Amino acid sequence: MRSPIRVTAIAILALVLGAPGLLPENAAAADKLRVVATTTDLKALTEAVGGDLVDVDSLARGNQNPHDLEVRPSLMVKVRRADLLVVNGLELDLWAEVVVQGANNPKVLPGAPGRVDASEGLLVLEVPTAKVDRSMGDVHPVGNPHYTMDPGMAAQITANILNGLVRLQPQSRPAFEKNRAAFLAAVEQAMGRWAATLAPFKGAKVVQYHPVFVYLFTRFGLVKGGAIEDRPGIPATPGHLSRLIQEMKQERIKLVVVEPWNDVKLAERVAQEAGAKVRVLAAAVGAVKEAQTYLDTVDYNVRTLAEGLR
Amino acid sequence: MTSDLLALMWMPFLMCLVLTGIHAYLGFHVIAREVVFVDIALAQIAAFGATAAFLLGWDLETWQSYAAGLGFTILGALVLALTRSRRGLVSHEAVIGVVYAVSAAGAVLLADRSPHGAEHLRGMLVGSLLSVRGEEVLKVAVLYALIGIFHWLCRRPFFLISTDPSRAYRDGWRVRGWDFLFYASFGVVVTSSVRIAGVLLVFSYLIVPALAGILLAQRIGGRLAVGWIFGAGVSVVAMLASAVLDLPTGATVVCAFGLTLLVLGALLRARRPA
Repeated sequence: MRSPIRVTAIAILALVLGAPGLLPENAAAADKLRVVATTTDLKALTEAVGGDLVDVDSLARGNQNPHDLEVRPSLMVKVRRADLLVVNGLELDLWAEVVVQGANNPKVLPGAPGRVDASEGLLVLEVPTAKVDRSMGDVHPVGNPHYTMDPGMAAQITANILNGLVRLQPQSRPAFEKNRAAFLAAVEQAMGRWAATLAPFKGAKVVQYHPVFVYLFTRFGLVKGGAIEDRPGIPATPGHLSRLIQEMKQERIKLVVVEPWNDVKLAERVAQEAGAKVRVLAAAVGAVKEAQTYLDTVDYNVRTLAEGLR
Repeated sequence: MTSDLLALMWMPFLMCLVLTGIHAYLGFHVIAREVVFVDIALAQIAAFGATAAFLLGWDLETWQSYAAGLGFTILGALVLALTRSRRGLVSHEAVIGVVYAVSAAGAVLLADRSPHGAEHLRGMLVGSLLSVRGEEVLKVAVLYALIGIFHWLCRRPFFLISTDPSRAYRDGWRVRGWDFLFYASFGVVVTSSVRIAGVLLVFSYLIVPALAGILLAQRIGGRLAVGWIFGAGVSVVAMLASAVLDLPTGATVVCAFGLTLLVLGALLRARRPA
């Protein structure tokens, strides 16, 4: 009796395939704006502005290197359903364009109202003055894109996000502005504390694995030393490392900071030769356990820097 | 600056010498058995094991990571020993090729789940020679010396099975059993080497010095000597090139091996009477 089995199988298949279409739209959820951010930092900042009116998801996980993300189908599904896409810009998340293409969502194409480039209007550091090409690895061709970890940038970033949200839901402008103001007030208050923590170390030089923390250093008066991974994505050469060690010895640089996914063993080797310490900083919200919110992340970084420079 | 460079490269260089010692010898067996791909497959399995451990939170430094790499390698060794057909019906290389491809792709899938994914994979490919420490070199040297002693004690069955397997069967040696012992000890070496030098370097150290030995000498003693000198020599040149030309060390050593072999082959060709 194969017929009933075949019918049942087809019925189950139809149910499984058709089910998403049959589900009733959750009325409350339908009102919330669906926002997708490329990184967890931008997600945190978007939630700070959007509050209850937005449902935000992040493409990159907090503990992932945002430079080289493997684009997966699940990311495309997220972007497909999004009303707004917040990108980091400055060529950090070019992989997001691949996701956008695959997602086939016209609302979030470059230039569409549903897209926000969080870097608009920011003062960008480390814009290269010489010609830049692939031989320099993942070097940042339009300037250093790792600006989100600088709390001083929060005002401009949240302004950009606010503009995007308002384009889609103009009637909620007062609510968004209220949220943003409250968030920025919290940041302002914390700024005083952070500046005080790092004031004793003004002018101190710090070596990084990859130049991620330049904006943070500049904000609080620290100076960037060399980077271990001179050309990001290309393994460090012994010549470069020995020059770096020399610089560290000459300038008495006592601290090397790395992101959680860097080759900590190599950093420790370099630090050992130069008589310095290695500390892990959070390069994004969620990169380390103690850094699950934006304020906590900056807090963690400032504390760790201070402890490392002591 | 040179003193810093020296201080930095001294340990990696010693590591290369240790690698040369055991790998040049094992390479002869690998070439004689005509299973050149086996070491890259086992190396990749070891890398897969380390990646799996990595995903579970165990860094390369931990014993759990080593155990995982070794466990997978022993399993792989078992599969390879069991699939060795007496009549050579199924190409062993085909099985090995599949094993390699699957463990490499499997490692990519695992690494994707982990934050350090890309860095880890790169480390497994070209190794992290520059960050090797003195105590690691010592531990590995002692381990390889022990394995060398083990192979010396078992030299008769090992060499016989590698060079003349049909005679080994006729003489009554339990070929499968000895094969397993060979591949298991081979697996231990490969597991240890891969974590430090990466899959490509392990492969190069295994095959190229042995090839040079075969090209330049007749008897096994001479071949071993040539292999060791060749391996050490290329290591020196590669380290210097990496330092002077400012190139990443691991990849430079692999390319140096390839280049030197090419030159050697060309020279021998030219010398041969037409």
